[in-house]
Amino acid sequence: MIRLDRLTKSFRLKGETRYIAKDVSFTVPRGDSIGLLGRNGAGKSTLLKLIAGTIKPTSGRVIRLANVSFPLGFQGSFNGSLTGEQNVRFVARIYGHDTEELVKYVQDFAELGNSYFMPVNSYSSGMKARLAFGVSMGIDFDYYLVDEITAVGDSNFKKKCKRVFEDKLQNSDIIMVSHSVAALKDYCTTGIVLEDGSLTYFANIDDAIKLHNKNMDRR
Amino acid sequence: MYSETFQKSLKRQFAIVFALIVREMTTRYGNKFGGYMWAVMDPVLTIAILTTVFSAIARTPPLGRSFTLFFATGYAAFYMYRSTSEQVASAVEANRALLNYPVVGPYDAIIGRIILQVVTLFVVNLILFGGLWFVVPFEKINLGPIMLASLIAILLGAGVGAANIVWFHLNSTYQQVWGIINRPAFIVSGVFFLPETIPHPFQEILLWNPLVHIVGLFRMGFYPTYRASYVDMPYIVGLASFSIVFGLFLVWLFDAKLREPKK
Repeated sequence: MIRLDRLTKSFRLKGETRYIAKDVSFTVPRGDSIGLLGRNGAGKSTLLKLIAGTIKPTSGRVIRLANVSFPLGFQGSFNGSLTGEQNVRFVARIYGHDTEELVKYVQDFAELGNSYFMPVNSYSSGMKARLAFGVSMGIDFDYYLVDEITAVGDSNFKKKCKRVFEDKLQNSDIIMVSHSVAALKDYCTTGIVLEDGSLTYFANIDDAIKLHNKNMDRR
Repeated sequence: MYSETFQKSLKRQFAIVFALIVREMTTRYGNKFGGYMWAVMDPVLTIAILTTVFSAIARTPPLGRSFTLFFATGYAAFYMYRSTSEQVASAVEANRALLNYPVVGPYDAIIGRIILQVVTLFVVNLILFGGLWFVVPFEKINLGPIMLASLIAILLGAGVGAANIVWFHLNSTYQQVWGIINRPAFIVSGVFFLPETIPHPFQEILLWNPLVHIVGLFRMGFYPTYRASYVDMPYIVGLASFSIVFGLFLVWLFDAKLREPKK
């Protein structure tokens, strides 16, 4: 379960205060996957980070009675001078995961062959994405955070990703930022719409999409 | 997972710090062993240059007979402070990408760097003075003052570095100013002179600099007859303790700001 408790997040920009959320409280029970909708710059990614806990609210708090992931397929942490395997080891260590097991899992999943033992510097962007997705799939979380789902690799690999991810979602939930209505309908049951610093929660994703479309037509 | 006991979460935190240390060890100087040599080469080269220059100007060093030992003892103490403060000051910025992992916080990066710095400095000093012993065999050394001076230098450096994480993050002008002001720190820290030889009003002013005391204390361990009566223990112990507490407190206070990218 994740609870936002009187959460406020604002930024000061050139003397003007802009709100992403203003005194918002609601509870997301386990078993619901949430889609975050809103126009560009509305603060969807920021809200995702607030939920993850990587940035702090201006006031109020986020209570997480769950194990929340890092952004799905996150690769910003990969150190170029380390090999793919060494980078995987690092993530295993910080999550207290069995290192050998995760190293083996990602090796099988990402299908990088010998490159797995080469510095990440030498990887193509596709290879990096495969490695990152493998790491995300190798660790179990209650909630997966997704900032725009991006397809990785060739069609076979894409199929595998989808299959494994959907398998994960049997036991895990997802909090997703997306502009794709199809993806939102596929993965999410509930939705949050961000508009002008106000945040509206919908128990049904279709209602959220409806309001979002209305917002987009208005302006 | 969420009903973790204190002991369990401490163990987890330790695992995170350990992971960061392993990562930094393999990446700090690139992925090669040769890179690591630079941690030793910095003091070695500095001491060599000081020795060459000063033995050309003066006939005897202010203390003992060896210029090399005099500068080595001075610079080693100074270097412990300087390198620790620099390493800690960049701890969060260098690991910014890792803050995207909800389990990693600014404190983990700082603690990791401090521990790695202590280990690195221990090895560097061992190599430095071990090597020096073959060049200028020094008589029996007194480990007490050496260890104490090292501890104070590292604590002070870590505290100043931790505070600078916050100040540098909030204000990049300050970062520039800090760099300029601290350049002459090397000159006024008693690395190549003894504060006893500095005339009245200037000596009193000089003794406000805690590094002068730290260098003096460190030298006492290598020169059994050197008294260094100016070393004010309560002053430097107090200052070092205050600086580490204050620095870590600032990081805690500005935790939210530190997690957001620098403006």
